[in-house]
Amino acid sequence: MNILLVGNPNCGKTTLFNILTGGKQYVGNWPGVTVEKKEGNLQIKNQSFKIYDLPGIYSLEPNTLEQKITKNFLGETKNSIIVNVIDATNLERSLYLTFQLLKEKIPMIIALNMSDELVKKGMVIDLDRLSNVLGVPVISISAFKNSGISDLKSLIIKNKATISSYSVKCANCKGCIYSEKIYDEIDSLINLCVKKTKNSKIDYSEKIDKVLLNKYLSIPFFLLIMYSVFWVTFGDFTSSISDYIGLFLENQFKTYLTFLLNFLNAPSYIHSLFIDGIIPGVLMIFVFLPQITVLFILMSFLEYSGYMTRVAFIMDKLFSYFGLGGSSFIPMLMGFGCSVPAIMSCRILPSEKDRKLTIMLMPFISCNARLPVYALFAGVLFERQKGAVVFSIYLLGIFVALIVALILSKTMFKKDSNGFIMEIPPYRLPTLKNIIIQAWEKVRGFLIKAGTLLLIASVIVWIVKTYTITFAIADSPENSIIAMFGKIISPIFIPLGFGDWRSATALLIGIPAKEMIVSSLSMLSDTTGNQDLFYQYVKNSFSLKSAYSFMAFSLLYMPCLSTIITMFKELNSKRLAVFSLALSFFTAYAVSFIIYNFL
Amino acid sequence: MKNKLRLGCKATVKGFKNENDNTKRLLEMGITPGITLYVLHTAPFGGGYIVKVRDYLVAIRASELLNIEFEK
Repeated sequence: MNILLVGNPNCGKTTLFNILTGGKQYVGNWPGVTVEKKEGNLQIKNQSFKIYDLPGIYSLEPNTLEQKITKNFLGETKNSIIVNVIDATNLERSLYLTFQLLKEKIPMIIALNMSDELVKKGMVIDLDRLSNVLGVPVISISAFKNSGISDLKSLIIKNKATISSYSVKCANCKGCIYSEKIYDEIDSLINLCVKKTKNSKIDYSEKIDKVLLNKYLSIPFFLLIMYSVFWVTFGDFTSSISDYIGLFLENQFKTYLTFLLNFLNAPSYIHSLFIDGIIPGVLMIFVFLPQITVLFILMSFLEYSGYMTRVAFIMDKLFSYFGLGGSSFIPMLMGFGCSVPAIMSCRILPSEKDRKLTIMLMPFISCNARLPVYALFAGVLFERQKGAVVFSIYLLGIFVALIVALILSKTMFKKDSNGFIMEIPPYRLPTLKNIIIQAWEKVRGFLIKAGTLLLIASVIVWIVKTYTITFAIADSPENSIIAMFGKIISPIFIPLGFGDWRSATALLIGIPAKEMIVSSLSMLSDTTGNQDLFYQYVKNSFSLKSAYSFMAFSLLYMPCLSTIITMFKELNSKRLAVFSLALSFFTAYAVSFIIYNFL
Repeated sequence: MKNKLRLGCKATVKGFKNENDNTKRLLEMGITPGITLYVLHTAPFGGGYIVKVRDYLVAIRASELLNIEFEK
């Protein structure tokens, strides 16, 4: 049997899905986190169920892509029951969808989620009465607090889901406002089933909003919050952990490894593979893991808190000058983490034009994998101002994205005006457990990437920098295969301030995975993964201007391979995707040129 | 009717001046005739409004708010 989780956006379906399946799907606090249905297995006693987490919808009318998809999916999936997840604190609005679901004639259970918040609001819902009127079982759960879940499971296993005989008295006839009719029924149902026991305490969400959404202060507050995020990410705390990792690599790890290799009598090329390849290429990146992790934790805190939708609201007007809507800001902020889910999340945007345009801006939004570049260059060359310098790089990305959006919306994507209607969720605090799980997922993903993609790439780079074109061992990297190649392409970058073959090659190797820019620079600099030597090399090879130009170029020039693949898929047009890649390369070139020559 | 909605004011919805896709969406989200809207926040540059309706918050653009007809 199939279990379909259906409900409004941001009502906690994915949290419930994770509890039921033991999964670790991403949870956020804004409408539209889940853009694609997710599948999982639910095991109750010895029975197995297939469970689907569907994108959140407000109604079954085919107004938006998700609503169309969900409606079709309900019709197609045989032998299934619906678990209608309802945000109990938002009962009135949620019941609208419920009434439409009842008409689908599919067995259903209603799960009133966030029952814990309901208590705080001083409200009591008469579950039995609600269940009697609607003709389906109603239970109260809290996915966040993990309560009521066993009741839900036992309802499922006892096959208690029922098809309701309830129908809205007005048929969907012409000339009558159907939505109005449903809400009339909801209002009388609410009067019947909901009691306010006490006056709710002062709403802390409203208090926070009084400050953060102040008409004049909302943008300064937003900038201040983002600045603090970067200040903490690149502050002394993370740098000292980085240095500690660097020292450990140099003093402990390398010593023991050399000892072990000598003990095993390993041939010299194996020594070289480790000392000139894997250590500087793969392990060097671990120096930047503290920054990657901290930035991720802070961003997911912001995402979970519910502040993101408010920023979309604040930015709506500003973005409209550039041919975008405020809702485009949410994928952009997600893009600070990773461009792939950010591109997927563009599906929540209200129109095709908005969606395609925002996808094409994603290469300009700085993702986590580019972070080692900034951490390295800002840390080595800008020392005291590193937080501000990195913040400026992120702002540069958004600024370039907006300029490109303006140009594209005036040429390729002619404007079709559409609305901005977005639910603003209350502020919520994530639990420590939630943050740790998400952060660990991120670190795990990084470790896997380091152990696979980065490792393979590093070995390849090591080969091409150790051997000459005739496969003799090169006496210096200057004569290696990669140097020959690098010297052919490097002149293009002379006007940008980094014409050295090592930097040019590093950028090229960085295309499959952005971490490889720093990795390959570290390998090509022949500093054997020694942090001090490598930093010294960077200090000697780059000026402040050329370093900033290099950072800007790394930010803009080309998305990574998985992003490119996702772009092709989501844009659904080879022409558009290729155009987008060419666009990002030329934009990067132009921006870096301006930075190096005119600033 | 002059539509002067200020921060902190409340008004009862009467209907919509023009029917379009957005009004359909607003109806679905519970902004129906007879319901009371509270205008809580406004965005910088005169962008949009956050209104409270049916005990939750929704952000809408000024143009959408102006399209709503209010009683009295």
